[in-house]
Amino acid sequence: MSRKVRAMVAAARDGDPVAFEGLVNRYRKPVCALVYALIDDFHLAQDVAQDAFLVAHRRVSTIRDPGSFPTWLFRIAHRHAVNCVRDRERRTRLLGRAIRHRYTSREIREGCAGFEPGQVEKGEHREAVREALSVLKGEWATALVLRYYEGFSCREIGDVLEIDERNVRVRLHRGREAMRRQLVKSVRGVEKHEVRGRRTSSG
Amino acid sequence: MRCEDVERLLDDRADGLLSEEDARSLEEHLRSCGDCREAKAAFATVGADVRSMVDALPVRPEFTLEVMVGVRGDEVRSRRRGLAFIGAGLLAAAAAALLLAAFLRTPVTVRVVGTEGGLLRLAPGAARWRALGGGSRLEPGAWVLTFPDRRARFDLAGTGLLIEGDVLAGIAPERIDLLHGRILVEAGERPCRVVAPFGGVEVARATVAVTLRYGREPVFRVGPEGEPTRVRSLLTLASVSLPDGYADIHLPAGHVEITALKGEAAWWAGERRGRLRAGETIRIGPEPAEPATVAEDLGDWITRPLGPVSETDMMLVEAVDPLEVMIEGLADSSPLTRRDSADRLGRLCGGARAVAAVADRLVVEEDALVVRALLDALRRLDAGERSGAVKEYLSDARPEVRETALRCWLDLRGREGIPEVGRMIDDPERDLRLLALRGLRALADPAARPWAEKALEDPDPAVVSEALRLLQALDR
Repeated sequence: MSRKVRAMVAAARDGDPVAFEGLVNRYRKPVCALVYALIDDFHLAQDVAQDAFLVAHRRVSTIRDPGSFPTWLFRIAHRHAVNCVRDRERRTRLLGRAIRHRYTSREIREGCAGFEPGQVEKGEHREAVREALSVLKGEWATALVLRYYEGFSCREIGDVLEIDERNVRVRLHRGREAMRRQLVKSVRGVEKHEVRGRRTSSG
Repeated sequence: MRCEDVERLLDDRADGLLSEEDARSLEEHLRSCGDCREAKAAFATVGADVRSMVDALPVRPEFTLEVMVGVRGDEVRSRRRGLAFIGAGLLAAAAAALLLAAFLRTPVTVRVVGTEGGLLRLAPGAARWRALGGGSRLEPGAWVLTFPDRRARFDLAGTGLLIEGDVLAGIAPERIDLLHGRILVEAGERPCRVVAPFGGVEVARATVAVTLRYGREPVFRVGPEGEPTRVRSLLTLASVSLPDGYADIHLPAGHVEITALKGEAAWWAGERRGRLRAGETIRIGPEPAEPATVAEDLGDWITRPLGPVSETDMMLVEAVDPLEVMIEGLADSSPLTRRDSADRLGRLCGGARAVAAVADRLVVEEDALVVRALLDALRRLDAGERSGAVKEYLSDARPEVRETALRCWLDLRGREGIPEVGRMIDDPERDLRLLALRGLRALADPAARPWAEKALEDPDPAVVSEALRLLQALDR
């Protein structure tokens, strides 16, 4: 955790909204990633992540050691996500269902893909987004995000996910395996594509 | 050292938990074992991949802004809580008194009885609110999204705004702004007028995103952004991808940006009109007027104090007879309005004028949904004297219309209508034949016997068994 983040936490604790905004900017992506890994709906995941930030803001004054902010924040987000999965049925019954009633999920997805022109205009970037959304799913992804994006130790990951260290190691192991398999798959995909390209050009 | 231990030891080393001795033997093992060296390299790749994937996540650009608006709302609420009101009882009493005062000072009572789908913003300062029908609790200043196919009833008559049916919750506002969609209004003592929308967008085989802005800050967006799943701070409303339809946009100030995402859309604002091709954006709307009159951002809305309802605050209020509004609605060019008007007349009204209007419209109406709403309205109005208008729909080409007509006929005519119901036993739709037989059974009149006996020859076993049941009932 950098000194800058530590200073921002201390300022946010004293009620500085600009500092808190800085923290939201710093942590929004990993928090969204953590939540998304469990919820598997990126729009909903963002809403849950926002809720988590709001809860964090309400309680930030209680933090004693600014250094503990990241684990504390991710723990809140993780609990929110778990609760969300539990009562998802009830949550989506409201607006979500009404909308699904009128629009197919494909329409909604396609609409989303086109909506952030600044972010997805390049094909390469779109591919990266697609890959990120398809890979970062499942319990093991939570452990990988905390490990590699935030540099948490196994003990800290266990604290956030409320599991013991042995389980953390198991999840990390599975996560790495899954990522490697994914990598092999995409490399094969590229090779296939190249082979097909060569055949087309030679034929 | 065994290869299986390497992953654990690498994790320990990263956590700074490895003893010097273990670190040395790990290094030695890595030097001698090619597989483990590869595994270690793969660890590093995984780390880089995870980081780039998290960075690539398409977190929406307004994410932080939305959180900060929520934060600000929290602050305002906690400041309010810290005011003179101590204890929940006192607070409730004070709120009730304020509400009463607001009501007494303002004789305007407005009932908003339906919408055609759209977005309402309930202004802050609500003294009380309650959730109905399992919906989430709305907070003051919340947004309500309504849908054309969901019934809503908004009732502002003094006690608060209740939104019934499938919609979300209720709230007692001091003002209500209609930001998008159309709203149907009737008035109490003072008649009222719906203020015309400021502008709109017509969409045929296109998808548009509409971003509304108040002042400089984007307030909300209607567009295919995904599912709005949270009610509490619906700042980013989404998924109005309008494959075929229109959106009316009401703007007291600020401006709106409409972006065509795919296909071609038409827009209008006052006298101006135009078309938008995919990827194009048009910005329309009055610019913010005076900073004093235009809320610059949501925070200003939240901090508005609870005051009496005034005509300037109500976007909706002015003059006309509410029954007239609904009767006029029956002849509206939009079938949605016609359907809603029929529905409201059936549910909320009575009397010869309402019956005559519905029955007259039924004669000329072509849209199946509207016809059904009109038939339902006649049934609710108990308009037996105008049942002649229903009769011809019993032989309509559209089965769903025949079904509604049959239900209406059974209710209005009772035993006198048995011959017409009996003739439905020849209907091509099995469900309608069944419905007719059930209707006859409910009437339990011996005059139904010939029809029951005829139905015994029906090719469908369900119909035959229903006919038998009818005969048994008649024998009893």
